[in-house]
Amino acid sequence: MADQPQDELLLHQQLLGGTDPTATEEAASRYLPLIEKHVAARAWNIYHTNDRELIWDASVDAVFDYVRNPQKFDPSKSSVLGYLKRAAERDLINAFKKYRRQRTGEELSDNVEEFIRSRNKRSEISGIVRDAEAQMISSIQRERDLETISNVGNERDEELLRLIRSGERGSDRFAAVLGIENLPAVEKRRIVKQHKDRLKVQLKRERSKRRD
Amino acid sequence: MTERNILHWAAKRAADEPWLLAHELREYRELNDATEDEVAAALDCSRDALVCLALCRRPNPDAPSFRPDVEQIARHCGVNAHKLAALLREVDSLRTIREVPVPPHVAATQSGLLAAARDRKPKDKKRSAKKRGK
Repeated sequence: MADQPQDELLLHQQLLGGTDPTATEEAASRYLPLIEKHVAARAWNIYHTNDRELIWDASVDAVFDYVRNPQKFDPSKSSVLGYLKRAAERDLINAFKKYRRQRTGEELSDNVEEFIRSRNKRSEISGIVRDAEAQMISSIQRERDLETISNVGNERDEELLRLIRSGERGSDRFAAVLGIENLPAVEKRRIVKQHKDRLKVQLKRERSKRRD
Repeated sequence: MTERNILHWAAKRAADEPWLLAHELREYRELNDATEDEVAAALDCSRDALVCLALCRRPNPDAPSFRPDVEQIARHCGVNAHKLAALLREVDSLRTIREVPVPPHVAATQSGLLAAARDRKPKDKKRSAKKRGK
């Protein structure tokens, strides 16, 4: 068993037992500031960013996942803090990928310029240019998709599409847009999926129309 | 919730988690069109106490543990237990009323609240008839 403070194990037991309603708050206030510090250092060292929301989201995702599913943590392998730090690092990588996807065109163009300025090998430059072009095309494609939905004049669909584009995975935000947040979870997920599928089919049709 | 630090940010994010109390606090605000300060006033607590509440697990109003859970949360966060219980019951009741299916012909003429009250009338009549029979 990893060497762990007694109170850390006690809190973990409380989360596992699910009988103490304040255990989630105790875990959040105990670990979040420590995880934030760790994630902020990583974000700066690896990605040269100090984006506050990115750092906070990665830290909160890791801690919420732990308090929601404490059974995933194995006390014989590491301390809770070590476990959370690793989870938050993974969340940071995912958040950063998502963030980069959202800032496609201009950022990649900047990269191309930067590479050219730093006189990289020709093959590397053409690789970057190809990536930038592909990203640019997909960004234009997304703009057109959005335009298509906007033309339908349906604000709800526009909002749903925005959520899809932002990489939202949970069904709660979609459910809020659809006004079905009070339905049982299974039913909610089913309806959200129906709407996502409908939008995808609609977009596909519009794209093939444009190609014709 | 104003994001002054990571705990405030977590409390804001917690509103999307139905198993946390933040979700109920947001429902209360939406149902009553209330600001955070008004919620804090309703609970007779500070805004920092609201952050603490937001991150606690939501007590189940139907469970026998509801009362002790509310008392424990109230002690932990420094809020009035009676006021917290009343707020949670209010949110739960309004949610239940909202979820009662309203027949289309009633929905066209009546408010959902009246329809929900009417739905219970025939049952009450039967019960009182039985009682009278005895």
